[in-house]
Amino acid sequence: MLLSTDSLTKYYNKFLALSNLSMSVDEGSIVGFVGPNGAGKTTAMRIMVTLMKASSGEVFIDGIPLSKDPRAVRGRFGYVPDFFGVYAAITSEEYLNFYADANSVPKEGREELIDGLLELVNLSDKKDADVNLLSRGMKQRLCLARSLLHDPKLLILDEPASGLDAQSRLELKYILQALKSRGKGILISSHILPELGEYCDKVVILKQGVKVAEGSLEEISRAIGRKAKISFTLIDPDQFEDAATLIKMSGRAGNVFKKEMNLETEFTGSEEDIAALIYTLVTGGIKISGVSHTKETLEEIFMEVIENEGPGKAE
Amino acid sequence: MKVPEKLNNAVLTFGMERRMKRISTLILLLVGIFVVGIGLISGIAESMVLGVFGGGSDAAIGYVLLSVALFFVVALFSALSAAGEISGEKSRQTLDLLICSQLTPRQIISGKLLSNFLYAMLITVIMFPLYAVLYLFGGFTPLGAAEFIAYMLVHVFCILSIAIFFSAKVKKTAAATVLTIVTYVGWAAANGILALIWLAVENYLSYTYSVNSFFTYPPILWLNQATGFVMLFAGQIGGWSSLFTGTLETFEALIPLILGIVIPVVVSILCIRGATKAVDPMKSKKTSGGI
Repeated sequence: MLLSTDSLTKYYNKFLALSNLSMSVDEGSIVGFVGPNGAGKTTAMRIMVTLMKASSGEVFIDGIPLSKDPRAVRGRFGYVPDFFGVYAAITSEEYLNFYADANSVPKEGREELIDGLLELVNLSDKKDADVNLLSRGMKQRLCLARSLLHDPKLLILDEPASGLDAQSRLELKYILQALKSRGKGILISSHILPELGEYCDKVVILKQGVKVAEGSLEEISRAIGRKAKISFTLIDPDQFEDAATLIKMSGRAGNVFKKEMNLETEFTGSEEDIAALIYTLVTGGIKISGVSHTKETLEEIFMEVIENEGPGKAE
Repeated sequence: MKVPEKLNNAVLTFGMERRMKRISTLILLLVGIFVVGIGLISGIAESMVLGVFGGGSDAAIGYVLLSVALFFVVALFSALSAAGEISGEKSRQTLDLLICSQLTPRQIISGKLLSNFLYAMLITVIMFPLYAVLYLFGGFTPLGAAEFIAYMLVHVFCILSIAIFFSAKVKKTAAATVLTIVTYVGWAAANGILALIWLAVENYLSYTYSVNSFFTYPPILWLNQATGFVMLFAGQIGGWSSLFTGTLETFEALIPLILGIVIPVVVSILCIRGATKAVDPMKSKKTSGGI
């Protein structure tokens, strides 16, 4: 595990902002960190990156306890905060050079490193541009490049997509997927749930400082009892009843609804179970022209988890 | 100017580079050279007219006071710049990224402090050839020049440390600047008031009990840069003992050393430690309340 927290708690005077948060991020994975405003996401992230001291609990980064050796920990992660500024009258290259100095990156090979990072974040043509004149999305990508200067294994990104247009968010997604393929562990918070759900391996959901869910979308979906929807498009309308019977016999379907030429049902099985059901229908003589499997989105899961009364755990 | 490796860090290098590129640096240098040059020309003109060389001429005294005033401009300008260092990073929202880097809080503070200190020294050193003319007009000795430099270095560093401390403690640059100026002026004012009280008590004791003062002047004046500099120069011109020229056996000779050097150094250390603690989130006391 690149990052793990053990019962992390934070009080602001008597206000409990974070309560016993235990979670983890592995190598080569992207973990989404979601929750309503004020849930404690930024508080948790700021503790993880040594910008704030926890009231109790511990953070381990690459196995090193943060409270014992903050300096050693700082070399092991890259951080992109939700709000950040840049210095006036410097170029992108000078900006990266300064933070390379600050992170003790050797001068040898640094120019190639900076060029490579600018290429990764699609800012090669902005190498000599004044950083203050870059757009919000470009600054965000430059900040991401900054966080990678010392080649950390772990990235902690606090709402990096905030304020970005659709194209910039798409570029960010590709960059994160590229970093994941290089073995980086990424913890990312965002309010843009549909997009986050597309590339996260796992999500951690916070509500009022308490973790209410952790796992992949499928795991959380099953845990809270939500079911995926399957729709079969039939050719022969006379086969609807037979098809409905076979679907119910699978033991994993709920009520079956007819909608025009489609039979729709909620289904709790795995993808292998879906394949087996299709096989059963086909071998049972049902003529199927199409199958669609609609998974639960992160947005739907999030709303269901958050709207549950009380912070019940769904894992 | 090459900084020793142990003291060098990214914040120091970055700060010095940016300062050297600013137009205000050139303006400050030109103003300083102009002002000191005016004093130099005045002194030469007076000497040529009156035919007087050596200590005590009006031009020499004026030149000395002008140099002292110029020092204060450099020190105050640097202090005002230093007051915006950490608070400016907070306003720009760049401090968090510095803290998350491999730089320690101590390196961040020392880098900021040293970049301001080296800048002030660079401005002063560039004008130093003009100061050297003091040898012609004021009877200033090399040891006297060394005393002046030591006293100046210590007090500039102290002023900058105070500015950095306030900058680290408050959120806004304006507040840090005001606090620095208030402290700077308040220090001088309090010092002056204490010196007046001292003199009043001395006069009372002398008049009432015929007790003569052990000291030639209120020693507390060494804590104030303005009066300290005047005493340094006056001591050199008038042949009095000052920082190091008095014998160490006499208690009075130790007073300038303790008040003029040691106490500002102690204040600087305390301010630096306070500033370092203020920018270290892991040592901040602003954490939990708890149940």
